[in-house]
Amino acid sequence: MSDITTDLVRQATAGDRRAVRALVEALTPVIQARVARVLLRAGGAARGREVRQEVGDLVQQVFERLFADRGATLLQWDPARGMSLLNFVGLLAEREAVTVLRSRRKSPFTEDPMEREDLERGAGSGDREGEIERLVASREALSCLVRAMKARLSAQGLRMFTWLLVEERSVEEVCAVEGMSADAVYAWRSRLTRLAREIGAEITSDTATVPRKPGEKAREG
Amino acid sequence: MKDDDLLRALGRAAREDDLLADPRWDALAAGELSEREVEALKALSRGDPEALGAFEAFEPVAAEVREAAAARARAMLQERPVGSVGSVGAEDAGGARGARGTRGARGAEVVRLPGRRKLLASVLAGAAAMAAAAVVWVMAGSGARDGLPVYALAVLGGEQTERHGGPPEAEGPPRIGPGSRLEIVLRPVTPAQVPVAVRGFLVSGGDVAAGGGRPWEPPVEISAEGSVRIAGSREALFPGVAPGEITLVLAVGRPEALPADAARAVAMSGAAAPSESAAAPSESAAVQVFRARVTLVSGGQ
Repeated sequence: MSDITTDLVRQATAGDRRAVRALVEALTPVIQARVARVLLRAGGAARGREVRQEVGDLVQQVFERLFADRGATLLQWDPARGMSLLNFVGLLAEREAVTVLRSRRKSPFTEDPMEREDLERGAGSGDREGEIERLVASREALSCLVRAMKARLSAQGLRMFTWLLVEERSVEEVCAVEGMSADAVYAWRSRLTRLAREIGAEITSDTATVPRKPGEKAREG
Repeated sequence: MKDDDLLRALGRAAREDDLLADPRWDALAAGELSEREVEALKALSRGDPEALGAFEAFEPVAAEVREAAAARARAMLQERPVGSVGSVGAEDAGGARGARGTRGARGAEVVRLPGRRKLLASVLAGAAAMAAAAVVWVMAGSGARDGLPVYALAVLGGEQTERHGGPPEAEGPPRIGPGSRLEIVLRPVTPAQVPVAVRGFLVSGGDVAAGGGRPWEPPVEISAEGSVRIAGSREALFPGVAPGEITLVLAVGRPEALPADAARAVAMSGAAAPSESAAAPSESAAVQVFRARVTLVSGGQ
């Protein structure tokens, strides 16, 4: 991969057949991996879709975008800005996949406009001091919290959870992939935090109110 | 507990349960895993639908997909940019894009291809049916004119016995033996805005300049968007044609503008030498002419 240079990109966008071929070969794996993760996390495979065909289609779609207008998008890449071509293309691939997912009108995972309201409503339900620490200290309880969060999030919420928490992407990258402002990304981060605390409070509350059988010991975090 | 600490803990827990966080998937897509490692991932996917889906999604895309992507890239690079001066007017090019494309604030443009999925599926299905390795032989047409979009030609089939990593144009014509299948796809970069027909001619010996071509009438499918597909066995596509190298000359465009005979088709395809695989621009605004060489081989070859 290290042989991808600005010269190769220039040759390819100038129409050099071998350079085009070399660039396609070099970029295909990262495009495939990025779109595959977005699709799989959205549940495409679970819906019986031909995920492999979908990945192949998206790979081609990303190349179309890269080479449209005589490679205008490719030529936007500037290594001096610090981003590798692979990551540059990878972000573009993710954005393309996200766009495709958003365009699916009948998808049960379409954006849920109520989510923001729900999350804002839960803003005041903070955890009692120390409870969330105990919950986080328990691997099992933490997994339970993650599962509960995922179950309540919309498609976009799940993607934000993945970008910000699982993959720990920078705000700039999330902006690029989701096409949103930095303020919007920070707002999502706050919502996810509030949701975690809200669900954490519910879990600890449920644990506290479960009647114990005689002789049963309380489980410590 | 600070928000940052909470989110980090959540992310850590989510990664531990996240099948897709495994970096081996990236290595699989890049073809960097050993056979043993691939087998390990396969074993992981047995009985686990999620892992099976991941394996299918990350297994390296077929060579045909990469070939098609490169072909389309080359075709798109030959499109004239909006506002350029040349045989294709800026107004025409802009209009064609405006009708089918989306132009975003980022300056890039995506040309939407509603029929791409079906076409790709047919190409891949055809490729999968071939017993031998597939050869893709691609050429691209000139700029869109009079509602006729730019076409790209892909030829899949043949009996190459070695996996080839070089560009298709360097590997010689596909060799079609008895029972071999051949698939030819003429695919518009954007859906055609006008009725489209195709006419084929067959020139023996591969020397189109020598003339002597005759009509070629294989079974042809044309989609509503103008995609043309010719597919079949050697016997179905070339009945009675003697072994040897032949040049297929394919004209696609408005029905009334198609060349009447092989000589005219060859003339419209320009002066490219028979050894060249790049398509020459057609002279007519309503027709694009492509050439593809194939070699028919006998059973013993």
